[in-house]
Amino acid sequence: MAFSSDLDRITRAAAGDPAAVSSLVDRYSSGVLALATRMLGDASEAEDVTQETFLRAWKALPGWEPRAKFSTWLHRVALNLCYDRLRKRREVTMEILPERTDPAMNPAELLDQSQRVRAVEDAISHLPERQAAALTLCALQGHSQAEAADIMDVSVEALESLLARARRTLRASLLERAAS
Amino acid sequence: MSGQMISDARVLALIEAYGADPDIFPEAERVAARARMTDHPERFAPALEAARQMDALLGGMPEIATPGHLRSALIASAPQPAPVRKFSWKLPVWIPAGALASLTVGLFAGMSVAQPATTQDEQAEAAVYASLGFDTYTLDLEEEALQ
Repeated sequence: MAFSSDLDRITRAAAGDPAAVSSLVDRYSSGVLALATRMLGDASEAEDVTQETFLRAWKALPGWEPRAKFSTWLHRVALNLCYDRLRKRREVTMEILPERTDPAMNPAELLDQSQRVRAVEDAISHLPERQAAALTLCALQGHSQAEAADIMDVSVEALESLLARARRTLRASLLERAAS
Repeated sequence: MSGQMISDARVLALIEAYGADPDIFPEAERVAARARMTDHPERFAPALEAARQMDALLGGMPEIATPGHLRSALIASAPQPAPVRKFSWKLPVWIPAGALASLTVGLFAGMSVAQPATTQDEQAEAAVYASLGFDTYTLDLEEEALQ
C-alpha cells in the first residue's frame, strides 16, 4: 500500500491499519535499533530500547501533532532511553583517553577486518554518550547536521564540536586497542 | 565562489568534524571549503589523510537490520483496529421454545373456544330474526333485487 506521507501513515496506524503500522516499523525500526546498538554496545538492550521507543510512539499516535517530524521524535525518544540506561550503568566508567595521537599511525592498518568492526563498535559504545550519539547519527546513519542537532536538542555548532571530539577520541581509542 | 570566504582554520575544523568529504560539510560552507582545499591542497593534506582513515573505518561498519522477531514484536505492540461489533440475537433456547409453546396453546384454546361461540351466535341470531318474522335468506334476495 502506498502512503502519501508520514502523517498519512501515522493517522492510519493510529486507527489500527496493519499496513500503516508495518510501514512505520519497516521505515524506522532499523535506524532506532542501530542508534541504540551503537550507543549501548549490547544487542539485547538495544532491542529493549527499540521496543520501548515504539511503544511510546504507538501511545503518542492518536494525539500526534501534524507539524512534528516523526523520525526526529522517534530518534529523540530512543536516544533519551539510551542515555537513561547508560546513566544506570554506574559500574562502567569511561577511561579518559588521550586525544592527541600520532597522525601517521593508521588504526585501520593495525587491525584486521573483523577486529576492526568489533573494535569500532566497542569504541563507539564507550565514547562519552553525546559524542557517541553525534557520531552515530551523522557519520553512521547519514542524518543531516540540522536533523542530528534537533534529535540531540543541541545547536549545530555544539553538534560539530561533539563530532570533532568523537572522531579524535575514537581514533585514540582504536590506536590504543591496536597497540595493546 | 572563491576560497577567500573561508579561513584555513575553519576548513580544518570542518574536516575534523565531518571527515574528508566536503559533500558532508554544512551546505552553507561546502563550496567555499572545497575551493579552499583545491587552491591550497598542501595545507590540508595531513588532516585529510587522517580523516580519510577514520571515514574508511566508519564506512566499513555493517548496517544493522531489524531482526524478524523484533519486527513482529513491534507490530504486535501497535494499536489494534477497533473490533466491529456484530449484533446477534443470542437468546436462551427456552425463550423461543416457550414462545412457540404459548402460541400453540393460545391458538388451540382460541379455536376450541371461539368456534362454538360463533356457531351459537349465528344460531341465536337466526332464532331472533325468525322470531321476528324475518326470513334472512328472503331478506337478502330482496336487498339484491333493490340494488
